[in-house]
Amino acid sequence: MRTQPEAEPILACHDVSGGYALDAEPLREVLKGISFLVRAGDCYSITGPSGSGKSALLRLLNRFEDPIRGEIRFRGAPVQSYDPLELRRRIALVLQQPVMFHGTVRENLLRRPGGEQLSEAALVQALEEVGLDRAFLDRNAMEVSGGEKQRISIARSLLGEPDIILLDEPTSALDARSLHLVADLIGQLNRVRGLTVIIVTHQPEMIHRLGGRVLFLDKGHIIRETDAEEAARILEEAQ
Amino acid sequence: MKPIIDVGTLHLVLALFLVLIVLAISYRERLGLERELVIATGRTFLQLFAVGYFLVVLFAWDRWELVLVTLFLMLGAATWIAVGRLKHPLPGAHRIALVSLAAGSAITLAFVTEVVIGVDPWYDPRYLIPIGGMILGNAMTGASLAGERFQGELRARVDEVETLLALGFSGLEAVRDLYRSAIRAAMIPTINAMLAVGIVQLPGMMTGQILSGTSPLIAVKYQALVMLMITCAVALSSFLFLRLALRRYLTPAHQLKRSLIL
Repeated sequence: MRTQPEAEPILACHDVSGGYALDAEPLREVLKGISFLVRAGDCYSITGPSGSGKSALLRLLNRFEDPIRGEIRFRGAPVQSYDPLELRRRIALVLQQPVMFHGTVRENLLRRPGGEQLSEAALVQALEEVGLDRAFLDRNAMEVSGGEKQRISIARSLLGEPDIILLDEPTSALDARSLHLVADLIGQLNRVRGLTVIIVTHQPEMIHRLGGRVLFLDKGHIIRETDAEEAARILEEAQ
Repeated sequence: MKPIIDVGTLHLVLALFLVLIVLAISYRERLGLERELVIATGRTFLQLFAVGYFLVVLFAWDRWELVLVTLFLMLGAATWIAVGRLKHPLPGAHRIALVSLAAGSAITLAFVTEVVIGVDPWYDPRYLIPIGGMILGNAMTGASLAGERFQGELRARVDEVETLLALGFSGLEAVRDLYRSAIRAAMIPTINAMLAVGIVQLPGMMTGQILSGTSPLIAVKYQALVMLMITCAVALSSFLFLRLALRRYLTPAHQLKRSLIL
């Protein structure tokens, strides 16, 4: 269910500059004057060439970095006014490279901040939400496939019951089949669970499957904001 | 007991024959070490004689001010060397190394000389300078090993740290595994030395005491004390160094400073 258009934005960037382009050396500030609004339940894709500041933008939203200028507001209040640890549970970032820790999938999911305890049922539910069955709980986390690792890392973020999930090119290292699985899963989280999704991707296929709004970034500026269908067409023509 | 044989200066020159053997091997096998070897031999004599004369003066003057100044100079050198061994820049590294080496070494040195040995007068340079040197030297190696290991781990495991931060772990929790492995890396050589001590070779200090006529049983007690104090100084200094260094890598908002890592 889409929230009504007049609803208060859940996340708002006002004229934001800063952020690091991590794939460029030496480290340099990349974003310039970024403004956009995200409403609860929205799905936003961010796309653009490498070094354009896509990941840098995500890293500002969960306060991995602070902007040099401008303001980011979450639920109407500046992100700096929240406890950063609480903010990162409300705005969960899933990194490009899914990291699994030594041990079983269960041990990975149970590694929670603040000694938070989770029931077996909660773990099973989180796995089911990403399309994996409970048998995975006892698998060695280091030995599951790349697509499964990415889904487990999404499940791990869902356990914190976030309001927004940020995904940084979650399917860039996956084969076509895994891409479809993960794309459909993200689409479901957005449409069925009503989770607000902001995803960085350069894959037209992903944008097409997710729908929603698309921001085009280039050299740190937003150069276009459009809907998914048009965006997928633009990207396919460019390829 | 027979008095100790002083090695005559002319006899010491005879020891240069040993260097000639090394030079011959280097020359024959084309190791290209001749130049370094000559310089190293020269520096060995120069540095040791300089220290020897300095200690003679220090012992003769027997003033607490001079002992403290000497210890501070040693601390300064240890700080400089420890920071120089770090492979990657760390802002404020000199201050961090100075504080951690000073605290770790001072606590250990004061306890060993004043409580365990009971040195009288408290500043007796015959005890404070060599024991302080051993403590500082090992603390320096420990702190720089810990720092270097931590920097390496952080580079190799930055994704792991950011994954934990993204899940809402605090900065300290996110780097805890790396921090532990860095302290362990600093401690392991010392613990290994404790396990092996006396089995293959006698440690330098104990050998020195025995050669200079001390009863082996007294030498053994001193050596045991040395092993324990080194372990303590290494643990304290590497722990303090890392705790202070961590604050450079993390902000109060639990952000990892990527500019220090790439």
